[in-house]
Amino acid sequence: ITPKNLQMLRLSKELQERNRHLTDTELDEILPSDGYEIVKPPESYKPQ
Amino acid sequence: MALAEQLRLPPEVNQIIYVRNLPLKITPEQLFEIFGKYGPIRQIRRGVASDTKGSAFVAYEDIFDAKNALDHLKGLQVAGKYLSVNYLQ
Repeated sequence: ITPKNLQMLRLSKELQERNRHLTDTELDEILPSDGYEIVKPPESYKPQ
Repeated sequence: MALAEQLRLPPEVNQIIYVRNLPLKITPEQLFEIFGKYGPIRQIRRGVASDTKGSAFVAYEDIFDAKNALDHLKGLQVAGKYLSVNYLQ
């Protein structure tokens, strides 16, 4: 495995960590609750 | 852009952006319309207290969508106000 591949591997692992799906509890830990409310997505909101 | 560059995102880039200067009476439909354009949204929290009104945290499922949203929304005018957009610190 070449140094280049090793670097790519490390970068993609790091990216996966930064791009993981955040659970509700994790969001509660990261984001403030007092003074803020979670906006309920409208019925019309259908992410592709 | 070479794959390596794509993988190497600056440290401050993350899935959540913090927006200020939103119109106070903005509706959920408008919020998801404006921010949903850049990709699936994980959660939006909006300020409801006197000191947080007009601000919101928008969490995207994908970090590249958050980056794309921030790059496009910086300085966008909504209802006469210029949005201030930053990554969650």
